[in-house]
Amino acid sequence: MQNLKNQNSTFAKKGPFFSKVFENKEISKDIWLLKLESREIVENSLPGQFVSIKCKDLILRRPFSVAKVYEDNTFDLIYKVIGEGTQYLTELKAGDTIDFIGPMGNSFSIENKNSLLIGCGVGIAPIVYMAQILGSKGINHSTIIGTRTNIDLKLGKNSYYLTEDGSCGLKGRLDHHLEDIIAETGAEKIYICGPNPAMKYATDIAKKYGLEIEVALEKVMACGTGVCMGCVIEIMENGEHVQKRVCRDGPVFNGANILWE
Amino acid sequence: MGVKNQKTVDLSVKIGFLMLKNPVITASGTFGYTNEYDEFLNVKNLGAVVTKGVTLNPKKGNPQPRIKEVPNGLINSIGLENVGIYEFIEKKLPVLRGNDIDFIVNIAGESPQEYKKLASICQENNIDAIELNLSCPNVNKGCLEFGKDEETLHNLISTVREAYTGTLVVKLGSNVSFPEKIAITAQKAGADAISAINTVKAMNLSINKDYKGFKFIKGGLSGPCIKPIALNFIYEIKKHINIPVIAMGGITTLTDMLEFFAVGADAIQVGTGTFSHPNLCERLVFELENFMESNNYNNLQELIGSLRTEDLG
Repeated sequence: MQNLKNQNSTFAKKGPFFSKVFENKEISKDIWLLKLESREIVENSLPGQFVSIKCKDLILRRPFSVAKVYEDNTFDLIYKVIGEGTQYLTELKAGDTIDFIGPMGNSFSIENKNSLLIGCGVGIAPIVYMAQILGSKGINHSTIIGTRTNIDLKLGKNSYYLTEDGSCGLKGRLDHHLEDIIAETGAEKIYICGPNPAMKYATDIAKKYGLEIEVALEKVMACGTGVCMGCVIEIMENGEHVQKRVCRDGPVFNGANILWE
Repeated sequence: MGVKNQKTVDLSVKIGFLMLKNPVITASGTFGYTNEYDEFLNVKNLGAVVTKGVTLNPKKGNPQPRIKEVPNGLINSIGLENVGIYEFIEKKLPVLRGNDIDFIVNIAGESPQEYKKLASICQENNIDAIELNLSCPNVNKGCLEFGKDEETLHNLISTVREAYTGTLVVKLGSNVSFPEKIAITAQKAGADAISAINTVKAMNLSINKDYKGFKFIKGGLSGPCIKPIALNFIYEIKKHINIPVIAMGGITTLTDMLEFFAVGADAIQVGTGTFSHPNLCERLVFELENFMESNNYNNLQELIGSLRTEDLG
């Protein structure tokens, strides 16, 4: 028994981990920031990767992208309140314990290119993390954060806040400003996470200007580890239709390969 | 708890020719083909692994949506997406063998001939055990229809038996009128063990507030909500057969597992529970061992079938 347990410790590389909640606060309408602690996540996660949280008695874990990591081994998640799982998260108080696994999935590729990072609504988290990593590597980048209303989130220089109600930064949605921002920044590559219509639009614009684009997709997942085939989508790869698991082969894909609905 | 230098309890169980080190097995479709869960547990600690269902040709599966969580359960409509038996043999089997564990290959066909072909490929490749999926509710052809009536089931199992001499597990579903008749038929036709239950046919509707639009999914229901159905199924069939029964349906705790042993299960499978807790199977092995040590059970047989027909009055 003792032996089995010791032997096991080398296998639980991705959890389940248990962390105290350090902070959990609403930073914009229905958008929350949750701070947890895990050396494994801080050391091993990359922008685009996610953790899967056990939410109360719900059967399926809920996936959330890592939004920022800190030297004290804490990390942030940013989530939008959508359903039962995220509603449960809002009820967590500092000191509560949370059960999660990760980091799961692939990540944005990090290249020395003038990059435009776009996070809209539900998709802010991986973009904030990407900005942190590109910043730490001294790679030239600009960031767009699109929300319905004002958001309490500090970003570096070259940041654009878009709000639908105009309460902060530029008024309007991504489609009102993206082309101007591309012209202003001279971006060579786009990274985006957000609702499908926003990602589809950005992909069309990237094509128009001949820019590369990586998108981080969201899909309901059952296992989150690549075995159940629940989150499979069809994409184009080298002119052929192929099936990919968003949780394991993604969530990051070449935007040009996605068959947008 | 004192220091224990050696195991005092015997968790082993015999299923056909397989001698499993313990009765905790992963359920098909929830554990991948091979080493997908290595980042969460040591697969060597498990009784056995059942692979994702494999068909003769690769299968693309069903369109989205494929999954929907419901209270205490999960509806899936994956449609057996898999790499096909040939890629399985070429790429997955060597990895599986490298793990040095007992494994059972789950196969699904569209006709008795296809099941036979799959079984003979397994025979040729010295695969020790197969599980016939006769109950997948998510494909148009095959599977479920073969597990429903006695004659079809008998013919199918006999046909497979001609081609395969290893351990033959037959996986049954609860979507039948007389579980015991189906189980007796499986035993007569040559099954070495029965595993049950597969997912239960189900549907979920999400109707818009204005009642004008809706989303729906039809598929197989799994998770804790089907445990009472599974317990009854195992109880009903166990009375009529003497081959081992591998039980599954909503197992997430030690107590769940003990309940299935009480109604006569010889081993158990964990499926959806792995999605909630990726290391659940391994944890259940440890918890069962601890339970037996603390309650002075020496071997698994002492736990099995403690609830007898007469207990129900």
